[in-house]
Amino acid sequence: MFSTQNCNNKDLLRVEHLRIEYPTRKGVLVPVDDISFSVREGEILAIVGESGAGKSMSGMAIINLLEPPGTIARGSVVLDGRRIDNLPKPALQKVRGREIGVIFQDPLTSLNPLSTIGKQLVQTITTHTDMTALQARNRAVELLEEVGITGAESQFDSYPHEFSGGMRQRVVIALALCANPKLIIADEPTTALDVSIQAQILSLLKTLCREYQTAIILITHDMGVVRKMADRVAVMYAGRIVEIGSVETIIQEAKHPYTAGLMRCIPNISSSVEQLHYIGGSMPRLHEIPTGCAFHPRCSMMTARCREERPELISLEETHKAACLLFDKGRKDA
Amino acid sequence: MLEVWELRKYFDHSQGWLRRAFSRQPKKMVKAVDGVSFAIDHGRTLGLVGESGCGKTTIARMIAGLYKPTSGDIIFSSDAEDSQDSCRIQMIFQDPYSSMNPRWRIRDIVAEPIRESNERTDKQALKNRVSELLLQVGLSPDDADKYPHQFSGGQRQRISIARALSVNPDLLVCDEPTSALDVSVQAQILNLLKEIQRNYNLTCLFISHNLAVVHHVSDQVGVMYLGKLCEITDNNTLFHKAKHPYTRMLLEAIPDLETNELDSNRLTGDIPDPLHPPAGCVFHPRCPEADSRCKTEIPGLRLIGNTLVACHHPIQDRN
Amino acid sequence: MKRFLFEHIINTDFFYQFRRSPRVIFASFLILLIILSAVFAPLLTPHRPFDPGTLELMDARKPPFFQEEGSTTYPLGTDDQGRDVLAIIMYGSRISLIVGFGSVLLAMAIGISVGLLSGYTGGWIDSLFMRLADIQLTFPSILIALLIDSIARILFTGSAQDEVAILILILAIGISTWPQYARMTRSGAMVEKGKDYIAAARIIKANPRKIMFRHILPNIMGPNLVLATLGLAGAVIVEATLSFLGIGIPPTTPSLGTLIRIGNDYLFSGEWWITIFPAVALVILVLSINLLGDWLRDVLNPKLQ
Repeated sequence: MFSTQNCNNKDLLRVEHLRIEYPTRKGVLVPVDDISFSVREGEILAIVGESGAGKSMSGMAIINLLEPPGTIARGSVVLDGRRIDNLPKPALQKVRGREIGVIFQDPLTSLNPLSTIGKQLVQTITTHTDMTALQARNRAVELLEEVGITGAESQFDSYPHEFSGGMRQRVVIALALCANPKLIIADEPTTALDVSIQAQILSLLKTLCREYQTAIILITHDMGVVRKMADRVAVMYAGRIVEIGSVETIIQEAKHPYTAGLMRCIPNISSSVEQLHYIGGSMPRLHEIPTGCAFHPRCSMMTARCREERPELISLEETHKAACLLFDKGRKDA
Repeated sequence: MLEVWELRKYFDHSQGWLRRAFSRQPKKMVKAVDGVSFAIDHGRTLGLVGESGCGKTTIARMIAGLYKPTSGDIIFSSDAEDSQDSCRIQMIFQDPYSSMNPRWRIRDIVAEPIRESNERTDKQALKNRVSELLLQVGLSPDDADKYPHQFSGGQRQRISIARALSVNPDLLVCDEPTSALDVSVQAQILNLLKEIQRNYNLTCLFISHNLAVVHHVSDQVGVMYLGKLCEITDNNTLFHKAKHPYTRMLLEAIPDLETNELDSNRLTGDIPDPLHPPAGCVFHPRCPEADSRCKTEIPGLRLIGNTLVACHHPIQDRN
Repeated sequence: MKRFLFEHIINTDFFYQFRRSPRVIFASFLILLIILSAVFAPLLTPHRPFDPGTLELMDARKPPFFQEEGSTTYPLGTDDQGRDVLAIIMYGSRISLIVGFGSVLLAMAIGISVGLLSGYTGGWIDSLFMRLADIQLTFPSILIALLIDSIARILFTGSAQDEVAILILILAIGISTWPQYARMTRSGAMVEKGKDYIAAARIIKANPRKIMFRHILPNIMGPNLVLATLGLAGAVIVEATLSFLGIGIPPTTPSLGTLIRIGNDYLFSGEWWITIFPAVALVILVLSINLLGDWLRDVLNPKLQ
């Protein structure tokens, strides 16, 4: 299994105390509030959460693709020992594509509709590597075949709209991998695809990344996808990471009340219940984030302390951390 | 309660008649629904699943009266005394943001069906009814004066449900009602739907692409592919003893929380272009069991056990 | 209750944007000033310029107050018949605004109805109306206004012409500008038609007219209001052009355009104020309306929010 083979891999990416701020006329909104996590070389980390949790924004912040007026207010992003969050634009552009690749949700808008896929691939390759045009072309055809597009030579001059959704996403994966990046950020890569296609794309992504030892940050709301793909999972709620651990631990032994509740909400084919377990209420909007623990109004195990103190991520086991005052024995009142 | 017989809906995607006359090309039709038959008993829920292009949404819209079928019959029988009442069928839509007029107040949105079916209703009675409905779906009567943008996605679906219930329908068509919602909210809405169905003894047609959700709410389940019904049977049988190869492979392809093996997926290839569906059995290009008969002969629905399945080589487990 | 409403308006996003843009506040202030002075012209002017009884021919052709021979009784000077230029500008803008608003309302009434019908029904009705609109759009609106104006003049002769001149102009300009509203409404209607709340209304068998006017109309008014604001400016200019050419509002109850025309004759004899001040008033009016319209379009654009 992965974890035993590569547990000695060093950290590829380290995000520390990242905070993103959005000034609006209603005040400063904080969609991501002090999150810290790391990704090892070749590892697949999933960031899960419901809509509004801040997971997409966290991913985009890593490569500084935040929509203005959002900015990184605090914290750092360190890739391979170098800080990348404060780089000037030209240096940042070198990082994007060459060291970090991105896969977005909608393949239709990720590809230029006016340019053939061959051209887009060649352009990307020549921008990020030192290959000549001819070498780039061959590499592009190679990549297309690797991602499972049959007859790559003949498809080279096709336009994106001539492909189906699944095929387009394969092209996007090829684009992301063409410069052999160390890390890929995949933001809901299969949400827009049908189930049967989704399985193929996920399988492809996992195989290629294992082969090239590329790490993946997989942003999704679908726990099933997480189960299939990820080694480790970080669960986000209202801009904070509430729990982080290996995929088996999170799914089967989640300790944070939100994570545990979430796992039980998901309908399952193999079981039949009369009423689904649910968590009352909904995720707070950005301008209404509760004080203390953001989850406390919906939590069945809430105490008075939860209203005031914001919990930190506490290590429960070697790689399992949760941010809940239930486990914060150190600061508990006598 | 509801019977659908050889329902077909073809959409015309051909070029204009003038251009066709010059280029001598035949009409191009998309056979969104191609000969589907099923029945739903009173008070039961039929779940229809399938991937994009399978025709489930088109069927829902035909039953709700939004599209006219190209051919086939929709027979709807109810116990209600006046079958003249047009509001016997109501629908819940997928997108909570476009299913309500953003300029109308909740009060008017929920009361609209009542106003349409009844010419004379006094204001106070209407107001009371709206309050009653809002309470039933878990909202407060004060919400009646607000506008849709003040509510979250889950709350808007509740309002849609209140609107649908306002005229006491016999049949409720739910078109992917929770696909746009978060998991925790989805659970709330599904529970609500189940409760409402029980309380009102509603017959329900539930459309979804999410098999787990369909498993939770349905009594019977039907699987569709490219306009045809592949298999239809009761909930338990479909999920444990599916007979159609497509159903089996679809079940395998779902990423569930039990295993993390990706290799168990055998479903390859893409969904064919609806303008050029394969000949014979529409699933044959992707089916490992396909033979020459499958390439030429369209399978009809056959009864095997308590399953209706359209396949030349249905998978039958030994007991 | 009123105070509550006031507070409510102040707190809306719309008003916030309004407050933030100084040029718009300025433009709105100017428009308001012009509208108020036009509406209350009889109360504000010491003289009634079109009442021959109050005119002093002795005061004819007096220059504005900052020049020699001018006086503050007639701050912007007088014209050849002794009428105070400031007063006739106020009365003139009245006429210009009446024609402007009237024609915009007419164009909107026609255009929005056609657009709704076209966009919602589709099919041959849509093709018919849109081809009509296309044909009309190939002609400049001034020419169309000219055409309708000429036909009307044939039908009404003599003094009757003068009396109905305003109505004729409203009709002419209104008819020449309906296609833009129709197109805007039609595209909005086609977008809304596909939304689920319309489907919900169709399921309960709501009357199509009800769907068009109670459901779709409120949702497409935004862009139409922008068009209307800019259309107002356009209408005022078209009216001024026609009047300048002599086929618009007659001199008996002149609009700003007519005033410019009348004053034009005196331009080269040195009495520049008779034509320049009405022209400046026209420019200010149209400029302010355009500024407001531009800002409105930016504010109502959902993509920029």
